[in-house]
Parts: sequence; C-alpha cells; structure tokens
Amino acid sequence: MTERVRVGLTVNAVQREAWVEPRQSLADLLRDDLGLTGTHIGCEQGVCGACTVLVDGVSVRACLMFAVQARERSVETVESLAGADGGLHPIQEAFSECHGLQCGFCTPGLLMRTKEFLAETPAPSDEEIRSAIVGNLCRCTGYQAIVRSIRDAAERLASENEGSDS
Amino acid sequence: MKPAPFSYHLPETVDDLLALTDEHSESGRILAGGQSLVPLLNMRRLRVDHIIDINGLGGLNRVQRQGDTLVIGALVRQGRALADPVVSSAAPLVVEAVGRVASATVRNRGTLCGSLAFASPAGQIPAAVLAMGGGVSVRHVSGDRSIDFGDLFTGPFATALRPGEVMTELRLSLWPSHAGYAFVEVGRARWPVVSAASLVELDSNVVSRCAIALAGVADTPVRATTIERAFIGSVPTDELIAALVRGVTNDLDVPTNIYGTSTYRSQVAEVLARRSLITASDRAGRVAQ
Repeated sequence: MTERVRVGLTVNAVQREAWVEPRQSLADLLRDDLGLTGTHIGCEQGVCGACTVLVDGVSVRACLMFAVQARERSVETVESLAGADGGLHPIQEAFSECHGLQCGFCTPGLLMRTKEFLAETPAPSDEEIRSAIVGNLCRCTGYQAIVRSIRDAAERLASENEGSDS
Repeated sequence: MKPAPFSYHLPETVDDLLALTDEHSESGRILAGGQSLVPLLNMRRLRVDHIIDINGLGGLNRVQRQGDTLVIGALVRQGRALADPVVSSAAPLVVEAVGRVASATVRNRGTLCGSLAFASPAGQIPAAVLAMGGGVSVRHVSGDRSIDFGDLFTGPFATALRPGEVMTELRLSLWPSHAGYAFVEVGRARWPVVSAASLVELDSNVVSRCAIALAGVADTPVRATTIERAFIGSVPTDELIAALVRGVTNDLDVPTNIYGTSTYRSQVAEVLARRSLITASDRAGRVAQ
C-alpha cells in the first residue's frame, strides 16, 4: 500500500524528479521533496487558496492534486516569479508597493492566481478583480490593499507590454 | 491532514477502467477533478484502498450537441463549460449555475459529472440539471445503463450508482432557445446554502412549459412540481408568482445545519423561487400586464 512511485515533472522550467507515495499531494512534493517552501499550505481542503500554483499554465489547488497527477506536467510556483537576479516580478512589485500583504501567508497563492487572471483579463474592473480572488482567503482581511495591488499590477504589466511592443 | 494510504490506478482505456472499478467496487473511488473527493480523503472522513484516476481517458472530454441533447463527458471541467460557446448557447441555465461554483481555481479542475456524483444536497449543478431534465450514462463491466436526473440523487451525498459503475457522461435535454432561465442562490463565502433553478417557456404570454428545482431544502435537490403544474397555463405576473411560491417547502423536511436553520432555508427558498421564476419569465419575453 505504501509503494513509492517515480514522478518526473518540470518545476519552474527545471526538470525534477521525486519518489512519492500516491497519497502525497503536489503541495507536499513541492515543499518537502523539492524544498520549494514558497507554496504555503493552509487548510488542506481546497478552501483557502494559499497553495495555488499553476499546472500547465492553469491555476490549481496543490493540496487537492496528488503529486502523481503532475507527472510530465509543467508546474509554476511563486519561486518562478522573481528574476534570476532576485529582481521582483511586476506583480510582486505591485503587492509590495500597495501593501497587498500583511502576514504574507496567503500571498504566494494570490500572486499565482493574479498571474493567471491578468493573463486572461489584462485590464480588469475592481468587480472583476474581487470576483477573481474569491478563492483566496486573507486572514489579515487586507482585501482592499490586495485589490489595489492587482489593479496596480495590471497597469505595470500593460506598460511593460507597451514597452516591448515599441 | 493527509489521506490514508491507497493504491493509485491510471487506466488508459475504458475497458481497463471498467475492469478496475469492478475489481475494486467495494473500496475504490473514481478520481476526476478531485475537488470534492480529495478534501474528504485529506480529512479522513473517507478512506479508500484504491483511487482510480480517469484523467488519462481522453474520450471523456467531449462536449457535443446531438439534436435536443447536450452531451458533456465526465472529464469536462466546470471552467471549460463556462467558456464553451456550445454549452452557453445550448444550456445557459447550467452555465449560470456553474458560475456560482466555488472559485475559478476550483472550477479549473472540478467537473460537472463530479458534482453530480458527489451529490451535495445544496449543489448548484445538480439543481440546474434536474430543472433541465435528462440523465447520466453509466457504464459497468456487465452492461451500460442510463439514470434520469430525477432518479439519480437518492440522499445526501448518495446516488443511484451501484458498486463498480462509472458515470461517463451527462446528457442534458435541451430547452428551446426562446425559453427563459434563471439560477439564483444565497450562499456563504462561496458555499451554497439555498438555490433555485427555473426554466419558463411562453406561448402568447401564457406559460406553456416550466420547471423549477430547489437545492439546499431537502436531502436531495427537488423539483417543485406543485408550482410547475399551477404555473402552466397562466399569465406569469409578479403577483401570481408570489402567490405560487408561498409555502414552497411546506411538504419538505428542510434540514438545519451550520449554514442555516430549517426556518431560514424555507424563507430563503420562497424568495429565491420567486426571483428565479420572475427572471426566467422576463427572459422568456413576458409582457407586463
């Protein structure tokens, strides 16, 4: 029953491998086996959103996906956002400047959800932003600043894209 | 909280799937989107020896309109149904209900068939499909069958599926495009409490056909057939609708739990039944009297 199986997958553009029990979650694979502790585990029942990562570009609850299901898939975690030189991603810059985090526990999930959301909806209204993050709970209740951060991130990404077009 | 140990199976053909579900009919569970199953496993409210993952079966991904039926495969994610033009034009009621389910991240994985198999008495998708009509296709190593939505839900988190059977698709009976629809809900933090799903067809401003299903007011989603019968043949005025929905839950054993008492649910059900019938009648093009 406790047999381990090999899982090969791409995490943040690097090919990784681990031997896991089938019952092990993707979140535990990332944190315990690969040392990527940026992905936080809050409720382990899909409610809080702290463990949100992207799998093949789509946001998922890493606590509700088994590591074996991530075989041959491409996973992006919060560690993928900052540049190799440690420079912050525009979404991270926005959260930092707009005080979009207090204790920071929900932040990794919110950042990854924001990345997915702004790729689909580059110029969102506040209502769209609020609706987009219903699945990410902030126990500090800092939602006003989080909404401002996402709005600011959208503007930063838009001006970055304009820059690259010219 | 971690699941108890289990063996993991990833069948690549439907034949393999059926052999596995037959072999592990007592202690196996199907894993599709995992958004309801995995929390239960994590909390150890459910322990299983075998997880049979159907995500390797490409044939369960189809969304296909066949005349008056819309077929949705067991691996069609809720998020895809929201974005799919075939679903939105054929079954806007279901799309409105799916849009109320949890969050985008959960809908990226969660499936429509999975919501039916989970059979939450407060679930949005069960209520919407029950209003539309149709059923699910079920396969078993010894033979296949269909189960009408009306017979599918047998109790809280219980369905008519027998051990070893697998739900492979749902088949919605489509209403004409001029039919009005409305899905309305009262929920707490994206958790459904009570909802109402209505469909109304008008002929010269008179109701020729209607359906209304309620969730969160009984052990299963229910059709309010008394209202349906009384509504047909009448002019759908606000006053008539308000009178029809009065005491809509009187014949039901309305549950009490942390999300709402029986009394609260009954009152909310009346309001939601009224709103859903009014909006559906408006969308069906009713003329104010």
